[in-house]
Amino acid sequence: MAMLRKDTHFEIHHLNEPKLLKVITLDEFIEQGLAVCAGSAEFDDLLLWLPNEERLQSPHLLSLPVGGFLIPEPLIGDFDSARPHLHTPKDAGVVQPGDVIAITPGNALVRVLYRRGSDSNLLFMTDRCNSLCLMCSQPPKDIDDRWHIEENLRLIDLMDPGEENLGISGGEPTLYRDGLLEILAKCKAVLPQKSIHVLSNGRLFQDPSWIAALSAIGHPQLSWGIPLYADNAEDHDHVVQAPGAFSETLQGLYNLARASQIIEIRVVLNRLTTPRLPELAHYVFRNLPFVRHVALMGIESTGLARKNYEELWIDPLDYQESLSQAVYFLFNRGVPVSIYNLPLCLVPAHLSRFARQSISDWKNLFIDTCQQCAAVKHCSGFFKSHTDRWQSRGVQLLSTEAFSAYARSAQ
Amino acid sequence: MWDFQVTLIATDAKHYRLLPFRFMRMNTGHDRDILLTSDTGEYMHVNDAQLRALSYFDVQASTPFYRDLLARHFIYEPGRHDPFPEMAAQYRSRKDFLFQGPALHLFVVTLRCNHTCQYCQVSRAPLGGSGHDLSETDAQAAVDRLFESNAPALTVEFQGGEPLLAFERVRQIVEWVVERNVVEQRDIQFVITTTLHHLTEEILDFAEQNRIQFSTSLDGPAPLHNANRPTPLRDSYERTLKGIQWVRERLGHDAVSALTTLTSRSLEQPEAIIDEYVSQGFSSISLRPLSPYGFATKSAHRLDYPIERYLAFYKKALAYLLRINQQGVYLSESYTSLLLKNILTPFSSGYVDLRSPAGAGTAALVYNYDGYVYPSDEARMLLEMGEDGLRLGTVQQPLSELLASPVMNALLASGVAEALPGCSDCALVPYCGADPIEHYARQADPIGHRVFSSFCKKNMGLLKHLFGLLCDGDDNVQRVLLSWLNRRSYNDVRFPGYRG
Repeated sequence: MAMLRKDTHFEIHHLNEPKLLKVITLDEFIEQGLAVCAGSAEFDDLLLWLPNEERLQSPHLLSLPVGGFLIPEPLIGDFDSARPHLHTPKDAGVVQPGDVIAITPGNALVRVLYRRGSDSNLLFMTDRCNSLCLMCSQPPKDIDDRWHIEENLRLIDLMDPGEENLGISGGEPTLYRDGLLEILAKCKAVLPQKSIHVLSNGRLFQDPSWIAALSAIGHPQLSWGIPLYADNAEDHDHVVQAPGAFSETLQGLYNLARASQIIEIRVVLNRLTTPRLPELAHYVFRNLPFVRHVALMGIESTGLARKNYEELWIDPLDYQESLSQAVYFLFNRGVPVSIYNLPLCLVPAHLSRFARQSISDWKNLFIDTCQQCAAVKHCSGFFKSHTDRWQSRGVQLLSTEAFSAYARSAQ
Repeated sequence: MWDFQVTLIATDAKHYRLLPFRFMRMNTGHDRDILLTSDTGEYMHVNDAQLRALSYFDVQASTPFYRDLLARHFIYEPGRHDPFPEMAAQYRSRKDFLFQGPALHLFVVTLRCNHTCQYCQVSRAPLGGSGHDLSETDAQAAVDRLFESNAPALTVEFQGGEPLLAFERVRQIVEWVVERNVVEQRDIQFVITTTLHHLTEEILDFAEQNRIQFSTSLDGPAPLHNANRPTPLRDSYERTLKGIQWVRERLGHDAVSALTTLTSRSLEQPEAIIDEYVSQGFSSISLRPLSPYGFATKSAHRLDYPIERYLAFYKKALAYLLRINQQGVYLSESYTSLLLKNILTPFSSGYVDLRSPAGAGTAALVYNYDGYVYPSDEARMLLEMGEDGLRLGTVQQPLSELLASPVMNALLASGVAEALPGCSDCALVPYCGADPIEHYARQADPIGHRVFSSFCKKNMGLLKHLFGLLCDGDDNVQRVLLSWLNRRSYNDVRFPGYRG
């Protein structure tokens, strides 16, 4: 699994306005036409995937009534069309047929908003947030970026209709309440086969009017990932740097439960959250028995986390006992539990059955040590932001023998 | 006046307030000997100094103990986080059974039986006796009552006597229920409680069609079982075992479960009883003491035993079970599993005898062969002892009327453990229940006095013992107990994890 970026540069011509375009091959265009998109689309939304060879053989293809053309390689010969066209990608692997891309005039940047077949696709809602978590990987910005709502609504129409996981994240997506509700309703209507996972701090759900709104949508495959960093207000509020947040999130969780929502609790593992991790597991089980999954997550060393290194850094080797206590507490009581973002060399063999390959494909990295490791195909690896300063003293390559001990332990 | 003001200021300076909790000395001999329990079922083991500090408002903020007290709702900080939504959620989880009407419906299709057990739990009539069978009209009415309950999952259990002696009535009732359920769409489980002596191919065919479970009695090895359960040919054990095998061959290994009745002579051989269950391949055993019902009190002088003897037996039996489970046998004790669920989870087992408010009538109903409805199996056994005061009414009355009967009122008035004298201040009450019928049977008073209550002695004894094991037992003991909690294999519970 190689890291695949979500943007690259092309040479772009004849683009007069910002566009979202669905990349489509000629075969797909002939066989499926607009049905390649899950929602309502026009020919103008399609970007025909047109290698030089096809164009040079059949120049009349340029008269097809599509929104533009994408040459996935350096341009050969003249391009005889006044319609938008892209060629000469800097990284040819980034944009592929089926993807949805965003382009703007005067800018060579091509952003992939939807990648066909990936389970890491994301509807990005906003850069704004009402918390300021010490380890935030994407520090919030105080801007009005409501335009994301329209872009996402459009993006939903252009996605493939099939079964995939789709994330909704920010910032804090609930800040744009009506926009979020509209997007969820549209996901249910247009992408009924996709399961939706929304990341939210849950604080705004303390307003009980969300109960009726979410119940009315009644999305059958919608789940919420809500972070909880402590079993008490003081510690949690400190981590999220927001007084009162613990109380709000808890009331929010109860309101989500009242709306029969599927809830996952997420805990980022760091120096502040690990000392009472077993107690937090106990608290979740006792007070939030409706929780369907608990994810215990290694820290992503980017954004504010870098600034707060001293307060946050703990070598994962030094919280193994706490992690083990928490994991088995939950597992033994029938609560599904996973360990995210920790490479297998940092997870003791008896916990490896809980470790998942959790890092999104576009930011997943394997370092030099990993190249000869027997576990690499089963390992979460690292975030692309990984640096030496955040590297555990336990990072090592696992021999085939060592890894087979992991495999035995997982049975 | 001056003193009063000083007191007020001192009160306001407290950084925390107490939430309702109870405590109990466990006499374990070690330092953290006091069990603190919250109203909603959270618990902590603390030492004397910690309890004193807690009650004198002397616990230092930011210490782990302080955070534990906060997180488990023993204390709260005024003006800061409000724990009531969490406590409400905990109450709701623990009392969730209240949202459902009666789910367990016992049909006593006949009182006839081929056994002449001296202790008989349910009492019986001779094999050829007449006037001891449930009539067709009453059976039909009972099916109407069943569906008047709002419970989404219903258990229809056939009792006796020996219900297979009235199999045609059983068949009729099952067919009516299945037919009605096409429209009702409930989740229905049929169980026949039987010696299995009267099984036929025809009965097994019918059971297979309707996924009927069998519940039988197995008291231990042949000498013990046959002594407990006399038949003319002294072949009760052999016939029951043959029945178990036959059910398993036809319907699968798990289609039959077994219950144990412990007589005085059983108490001397816990290991032999357990070994019998292991060799018969059962995955659970139910070691319940003799009830003061049926014919049991008449022959009490020979068969009954003080509850202390039962507790000593239970501890021996449990120790043996813990040992063999660690050796790879899966055999859980069912009452222990229920208590563990009450202790280790925010939920209640929902078990009829461990509910508060009491489960009699609210969780279970008994349709007796004579057309009267009783709130529990035990209540109808009192009838055979000459007590007809506990009937709710006749099976021809609608469920709403039966549940509004004076008997139900009396049972519920004495059926809330949290409000009973002796229970209301007991630290174990969140995990226990109320049993007004047992107290009525033994003490002629549905409230009863705890000092003389064998129900209280039994549950206190078991709960204290389990709290002791959960606190002091080694990792492997924890693993066995946790494996029983969710019916997982011992090997799957590789580590006990945080003990809470």
